[in-house]
Amino acid sequence: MQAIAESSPVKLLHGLMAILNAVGTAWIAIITVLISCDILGRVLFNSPIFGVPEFVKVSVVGIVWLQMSHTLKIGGHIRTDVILDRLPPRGRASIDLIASILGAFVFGLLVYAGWDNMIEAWRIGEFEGEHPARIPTYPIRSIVLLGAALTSFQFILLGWQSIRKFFWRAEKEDC
Amino acid sequence: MDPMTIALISVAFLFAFIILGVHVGVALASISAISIWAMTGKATVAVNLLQTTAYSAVMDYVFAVIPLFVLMGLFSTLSGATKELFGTAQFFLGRIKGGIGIATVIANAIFAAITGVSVASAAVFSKIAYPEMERLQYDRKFSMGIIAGSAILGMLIPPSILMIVYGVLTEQSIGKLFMAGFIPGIVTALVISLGIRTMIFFKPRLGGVTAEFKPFTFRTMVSETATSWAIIALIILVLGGIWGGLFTPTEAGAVGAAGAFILVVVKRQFNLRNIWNVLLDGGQTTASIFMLLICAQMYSRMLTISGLASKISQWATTLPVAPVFIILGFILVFLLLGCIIDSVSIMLLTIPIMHPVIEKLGYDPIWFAIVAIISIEIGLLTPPFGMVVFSMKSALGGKTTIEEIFQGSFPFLLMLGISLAIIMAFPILSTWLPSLM
Repeated sequence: MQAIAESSPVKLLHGLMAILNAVGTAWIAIITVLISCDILGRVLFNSPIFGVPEFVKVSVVGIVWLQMSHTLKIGGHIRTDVILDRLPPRGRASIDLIASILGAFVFGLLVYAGWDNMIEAWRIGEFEGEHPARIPTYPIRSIVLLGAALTSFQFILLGWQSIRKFFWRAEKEDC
Repeated sequence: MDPMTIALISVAFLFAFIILGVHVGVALASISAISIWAMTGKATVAVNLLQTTAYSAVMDYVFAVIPLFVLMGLFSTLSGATKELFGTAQFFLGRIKGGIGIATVIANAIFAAITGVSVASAAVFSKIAYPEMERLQYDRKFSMGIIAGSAILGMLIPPSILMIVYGVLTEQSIGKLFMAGFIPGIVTALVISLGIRTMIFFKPRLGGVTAEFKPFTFRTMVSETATSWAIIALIILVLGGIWGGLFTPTEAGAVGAAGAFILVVVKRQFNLRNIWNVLLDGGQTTASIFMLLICAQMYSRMLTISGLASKISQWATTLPVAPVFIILGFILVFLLLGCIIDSVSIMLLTIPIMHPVIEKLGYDPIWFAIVAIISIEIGLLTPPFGMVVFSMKSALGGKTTIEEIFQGSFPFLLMLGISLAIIMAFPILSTWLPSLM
């Protein structure tokens, strides 16, 4: 049973989540620098950098979805443990299972629902903003789906773990 | 079933799921999707809503303000600015009786201008100010109460995550909301400081002994102020820039983050491990807030489609009571919810329903934002489950019990209640600064 959570494909995907999270945060750093340069350019030389607001606007979506799955993995998504902490292990596992099924369902549905739009966006080369500050949005749509797919996968994994906890009471916490 | 009934049932389910411990975002998204399906009878409507919200709900320039201010707070904390602020406040206030307590409040107020989350300040000050008060033989419960009570300033003094969330939900200007919190923040800091003095006046034992400091001379004053000048200059630049119209809130966030990063380098705290930790920490905070924001938009669409929100606001205006009782009712809801869930989730659940009522009754939404923030934060201090109290307990470790912190913070609840009453009675305190923008 232990083997599933530690098998190499799962490890690989967890590695991918961590890398995506880091990319997302590096992206925030890039935005910080860009906006600061934009302001300096505007105040000192009266020449702002072109397209920064458009880039920032589109970036937010990308950043969020890059960080979504890893945040779930490290238990960062907000939930209340007022009741949870007072339940016996099996009760806790049952609620975890319900939460995981709902999560896997919602994020899975998101991938399903967004797929056609993403393909279409790639085909027509969808963009945001007016020429010449045109920011392509098809990579962003792909990031949303990738993030949602990984989050759904992580929920499935969490659900599996709570089933195990319910029946076998795992000795060791993993992932 | 008519949409209204479905909406009411789903709101009930939502609260049940959240209280049981389903992730708040997951509960919001799944229940909204299912109830939209039930209302319209078409699964495609619900599915489409999911995917458009996930993509376009946060595609806005203004949302970048969240990761940027989160980063600013993390970098400032890393640079050691908090400790310096506390040191400076201590130097100026430490020699009066109860001075360290007041210094904690003031340092908290200034720290609040860097960070947007109050749980963060409770944890930080438990580590910095508590040992100092212990050394000066302050009453234990009293010291913990001071820290818990002044943690509210983190959300009230801009920048504040709660103001951003409120602005997004109600389409109010985030810049104006930031400025609205400024004077109420100062009022609250004053009320708490006076409260500390009053308590010590009646019970001198609480305040322990007074510490020895270098004498006040021009030299010592300059050198003590100099240690924290950089962070204060940064605050003035960021908030002044928003108020003066020089920056948008998003730009101010970027300037703040960049400035705080320079501070980290100057204070020699820059190493790859520290930066990596800050970046990961920032990523987690940002993603968890955005998950809530995205899912909350699905919920508010669901409420709009059902017509529940507008129905409630119509119903509220026909109630045979004075409007102020409706506001008091809302405050009661905030206080109760504050016992169970975190502040951002409370805003997301309640404001889409309350905002139309507030507008219909003719209240200023900016004033209500401040009232809501204070009430929610007071809720985070009340037993049985105050979040701020729990975060203090984990920061202080085995040194204390939850019950002790709750007992200690009780007098401070009264002070915060007084401050809430003042801010409710005089809306001008909240609306004056934004009206000048």
